[in-house]
Amino acid sequence: MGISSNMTRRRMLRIAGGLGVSAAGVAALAACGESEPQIITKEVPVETTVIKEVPVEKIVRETEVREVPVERIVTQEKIVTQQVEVPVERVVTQVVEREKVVEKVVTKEVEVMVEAPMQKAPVRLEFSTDWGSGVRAATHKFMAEQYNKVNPHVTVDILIISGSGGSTAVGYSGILTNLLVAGSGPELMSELWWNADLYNLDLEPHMQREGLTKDDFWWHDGYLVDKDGVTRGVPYGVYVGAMMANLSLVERFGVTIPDKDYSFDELRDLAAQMRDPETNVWGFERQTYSWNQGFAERFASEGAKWYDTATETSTASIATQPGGNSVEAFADWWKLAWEDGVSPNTDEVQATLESPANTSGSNNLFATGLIGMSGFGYNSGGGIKNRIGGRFDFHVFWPYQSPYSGLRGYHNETNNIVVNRAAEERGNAEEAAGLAFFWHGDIMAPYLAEFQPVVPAVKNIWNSPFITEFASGTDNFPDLAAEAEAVGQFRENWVRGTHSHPNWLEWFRLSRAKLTDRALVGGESPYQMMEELDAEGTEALRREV
Amino acid sequence: MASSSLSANTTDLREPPAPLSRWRAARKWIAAQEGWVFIFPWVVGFILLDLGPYIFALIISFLNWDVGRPPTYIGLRNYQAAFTDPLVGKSLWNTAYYTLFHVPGSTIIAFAVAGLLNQRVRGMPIWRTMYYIPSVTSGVGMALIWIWLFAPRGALNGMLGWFGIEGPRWLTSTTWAMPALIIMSFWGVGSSMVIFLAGLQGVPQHLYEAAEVDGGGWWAKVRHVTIPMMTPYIFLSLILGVIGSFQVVTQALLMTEGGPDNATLFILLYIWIMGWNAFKMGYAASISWILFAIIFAATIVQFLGARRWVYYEYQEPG
Amino acid sequence: MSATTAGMERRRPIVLRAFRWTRRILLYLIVVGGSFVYMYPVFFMLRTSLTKESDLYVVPPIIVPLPPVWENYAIMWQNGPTWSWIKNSLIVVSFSVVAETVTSVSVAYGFARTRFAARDKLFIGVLATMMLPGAVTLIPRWLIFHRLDMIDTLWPLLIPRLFGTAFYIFIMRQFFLTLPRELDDAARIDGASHLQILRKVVIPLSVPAIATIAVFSFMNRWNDFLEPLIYLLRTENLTLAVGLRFFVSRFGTEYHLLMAGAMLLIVPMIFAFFLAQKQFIRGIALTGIKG
Repeated sequence: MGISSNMTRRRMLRIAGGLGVSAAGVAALAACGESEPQIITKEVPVETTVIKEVPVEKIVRETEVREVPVERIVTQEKIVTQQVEVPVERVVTQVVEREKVVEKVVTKEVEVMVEAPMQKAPVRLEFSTDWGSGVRAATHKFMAEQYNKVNPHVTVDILIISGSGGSTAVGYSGILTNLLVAGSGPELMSELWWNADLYNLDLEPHMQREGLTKDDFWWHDGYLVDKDGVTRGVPYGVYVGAMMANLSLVERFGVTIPDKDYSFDELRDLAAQMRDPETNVWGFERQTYSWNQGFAERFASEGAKWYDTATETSTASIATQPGGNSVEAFADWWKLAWEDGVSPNTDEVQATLESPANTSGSNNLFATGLIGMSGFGYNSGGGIKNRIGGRFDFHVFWPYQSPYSGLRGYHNETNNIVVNRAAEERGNAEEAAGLAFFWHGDIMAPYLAEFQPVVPAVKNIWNSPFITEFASGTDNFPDLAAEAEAVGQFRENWVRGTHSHPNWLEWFRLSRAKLTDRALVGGESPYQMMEELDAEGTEALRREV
Repeated sequence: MASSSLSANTTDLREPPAPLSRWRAARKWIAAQEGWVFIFPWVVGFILLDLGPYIFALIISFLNWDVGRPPTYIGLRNYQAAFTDPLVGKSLWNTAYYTLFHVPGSTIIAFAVAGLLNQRVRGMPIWRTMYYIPSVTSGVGMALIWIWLFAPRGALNGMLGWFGIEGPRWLTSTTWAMPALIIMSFWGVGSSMVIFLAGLQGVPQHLYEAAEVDGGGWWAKVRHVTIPMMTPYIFLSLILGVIGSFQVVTQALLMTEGGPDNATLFILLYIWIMGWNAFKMGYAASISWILFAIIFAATIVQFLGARRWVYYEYQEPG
Repeated sequence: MSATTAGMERRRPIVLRAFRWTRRILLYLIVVGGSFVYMYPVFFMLRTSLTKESDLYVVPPIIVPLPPVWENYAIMWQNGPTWSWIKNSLIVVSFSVVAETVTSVSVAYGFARTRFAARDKLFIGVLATMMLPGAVTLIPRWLIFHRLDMIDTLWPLLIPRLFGTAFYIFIMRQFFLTLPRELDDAARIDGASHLQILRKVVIPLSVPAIATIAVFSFMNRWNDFLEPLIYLLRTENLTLAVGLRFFVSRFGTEYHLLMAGAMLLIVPMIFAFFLAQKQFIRGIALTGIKG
């Protein structure tokens, strides 16, 4: 079952938590752990401690040992009740997933014994992330526990590193860089693409071992494969830009949300119908971010590249796609606020957002309920849902088409998990790579799909009911994703990533100053801004040092 | 007590106050070397934890180094690039602009608040705490609240509205973003305020009494007693203010990311971005040394200037 | 100021009372009003910390969240090993306050009251350490502690404190310069050593300043984000200021929890400042020595 849109996650958890409690109660009453061994097994740390030093023969015995303490502990009712006090979120996930896992453990165990007398020394892995709270932190915790269950000799430590947030985050990557230089970097790192050829493990052989090919992932060529053709990352999650509409406002204005084939001009007309200055309702949220249906998506659909790494020229104003026109595309964005008045300009955005929490972050304006339509990034679905908190329903639909090139405006990107090359010397590369791909395995992928901290990057998960029932309209998501992939991904050309220019940051600051800070804020001519960006951008790219 | 008599008191700090016999001088010199014992911990720390890193930073400013790969020597090219980089110029200008308003502004406000909090008012410990707490409140949380206060329809513009003023769009305006950060900095005067408060306790009561005998009113006492007696603290606050304002980074990073149109790109923020986001460590180091030279010059100028107006009581011959 | 009114009393006894009262009321208004203006942002943090997440996005905004969502604090508390973080913070803070204060006072005395040869040149070194931006010295310092195998321990946060802190040395030196020289000259004539002068003469006179730097030390170390961030790694080893930033990530920020964390951080500072004030006030009694 998926989460129906009127049922909050918290409520789900509470119910599931209740189930956990009653399950524990049943176990305690039955007092003969046969039927309900799940919860109790987790309490037993014997698995890890025993395996550590004993050879195979004892592992055989260890499987027996595992059942013995179950009985012993079940009779101790106190421990069972303690179990209940564990934060509810985690108990739920355990209860849900357990049955599958137990089977896995058993088969693995048999394999080990039958196969070879291979002695598995205990392995410790570190996985760095900046996901420090809520469902994000719970996801990593779940991953660590599950991986340990499947591979009992591996313990995974999650290394949470706070950052300053924003596009110029200085904490996270700086600290990891220090660690890597000193040779003590964690085995796995989310979102770090820094001197990839020096520090990241080639994942090709590991991918083969896991029975995966690059084609199983979305947008693999742009971000995960380095300039020299080596695969140095595993997708963490993917990001597809789509559109969403506030269904309460749709009803109130009696408009029809287009399904698939509609032009940018139609979007503008629709937005105009939903604009009501009296009640301060806007038709369309034109984000000043470059992504999330900002102008970057428009540029992408025009086939424009931000800059050309070969010639070191800024090329935002040049469309490579036949019929494309990125300057006009940007001007369209500009007009939404300054001529049509269907999108709030930056002042109006800030004026509408009257709460301190609203001041930054994507889709916060949509969450106020005052915006008819907005961009929707699938990887932020969970966050949007929490912020809306059931105050209204929303509907996800396809992006509009460019009047110039006829392509839809997608913003696609993947962020990645990279494996530290040092893992080879430490002798845990196999386990580390295994953990990276475990993220996309049968246990993690449904979990990710359900809780939505990221959308899983493996293609076959995208038909998952968890995703398609996430909000109204998400059922056509697999089709949308397939088309988005055909358009290709875009990010690598303009921020730090596999193919970015060494001076990307100087260039990025410049482009943001021109387009986001001035043209979209102050209403200065978009044409002139684009011209300036081309000239100054090229200069910035060519600057030495 | 006129200001002319004050400057007469400020003689060179290093000059011994009275001539001594040769034997006494020698004994004094030996005794003075005892000072090494006192500063010893600092010397050790300086050599171990500061000098090494400074030399390291100086060396890498001549290198092209992205931390991960072996560096290459490029001579003065980092410095050349820094001098031609328009963003270095802009960020230095921004920093100077901030300093020019932040330092005097926050010194005056801290002084006034300290004076206010030195009065006899019931529950004073509570009020003092309330003035102090905002300046030590977590940077992220505070920055987010201030973004909201500066919103076009936020609290600040609401207040301006009472006086019929239509407030600007603070943080998204290239003109007003910097004034916004300066205004916000006035909520962080807590440490200067505490220093002043401690200093005010040391102003001898008899001076006020003397001023009163001369028929001086409230302002005369402030002008001729409080301010002269507080000059060491004012000096301290100015020095710390200048050093501090050259090192602003958190607010700008969290609230504007240096924008809009680089209007709040502070020099240290640029160094951080270059070093820790673009990983151009050599370049970041070279800008750091330029910044160091500027602050150092500014501090020396302040120290030289201080001889003319700062009054140290211990110079008075016994 | 009360002395002023006393002076006027002699001349204008009739209007005295009215004048005195107006002045007093005005003073209270300014002090109390100002303190509310100063606390305004903090009140809003408190308000945000007590609001339900989805209610943060409601327009018009909910100024007073009723009923307050205390659950935010529970969630904030349970997000990580908060007790361990508090314990680590307390270790760092208590050690730092003592070490920094003691060393800085001693070093400042050396710079202010002794006359060894290289004194003023070395003091430039103190100033320099305050001025050179930490952004570039971060890596070498980190590498030093890494070489010493101290990453992910509290040592890199404790050891540097033993050597004094330039900022506090500077403050104390400036303060010592304001103390009358004749006091230690007199002690010197009595044959006292520098250490005795420091202990018996200078420190008792410097209680307000020492309290000041102790408070600064407490606040700065309790709030310190950057150093623990780079030196500590594992979740259970972090300090509170770093752990409570877990609510900020590149993908989004949980504002209500972040603000709840910020409020938790404020509480000890309110107590510390409240208590330390007694020491500032103690200074009043001591000034009598000079008169």
